Amino acid sequence: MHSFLHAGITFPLCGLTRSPIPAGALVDHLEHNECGAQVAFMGRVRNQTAGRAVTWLEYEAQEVLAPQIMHEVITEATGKFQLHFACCIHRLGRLYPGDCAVLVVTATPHRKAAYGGNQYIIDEVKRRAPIWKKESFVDGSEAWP
Amino acid sequence: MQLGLRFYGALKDHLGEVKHIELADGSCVEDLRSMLVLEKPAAAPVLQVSAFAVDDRLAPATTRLKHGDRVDVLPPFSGG
Repeated sequence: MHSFLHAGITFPLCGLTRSPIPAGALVDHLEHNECGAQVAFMGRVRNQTAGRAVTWLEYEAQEVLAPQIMHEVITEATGKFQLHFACCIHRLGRLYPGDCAVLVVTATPHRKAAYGGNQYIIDEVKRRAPIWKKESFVDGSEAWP
Repeated sequence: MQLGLRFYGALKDHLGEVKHIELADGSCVEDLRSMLVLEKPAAAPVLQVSAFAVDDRLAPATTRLKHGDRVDVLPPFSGG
């Protein structure tokens, strides 16, 4: 599988990482000159859930299945939306408000397919990939949403 | 037969992270779910909507289990 190479660190184009996702740098690194549209979606940790202040989120995954399913989703999206490029990287471990939990990037010649493919990937990864998060709140309570 | 179980998400709070159990020969995934519900009724609402994987492959409820299988019990996903 292709991978990003950024600052000496190889990031999978599709998969899980315990390292911070350098989303901006990774997006800048892409060169698909035949594509007039590039959509980058970043899922970030909110500082509140239903009005309760969040301290951190802890992400975990079934680490064999989740990347396989993410890869399936990217393959499906590439076919459905004729994507020239697609990637999906999901972070694991403890994240704090503002941290990037997931990055999805798609590139196509025109914008409609880039948006559509990007939304398909994040929707299906959230629905099908065995990834979980635990929420910890400022009041000391914790919950699995 | 002996099975190795791994629990994720909310199920870890009820059943721990890893567990080894004995189950009757010929049992299937649905039998395992029923056994876990009996053992930990408080986890029943989550177990009833959990998926299972056997040796890193998603396994429908009718999947026949065999001695030594490693079974992951996967509550509803919440990534992203």
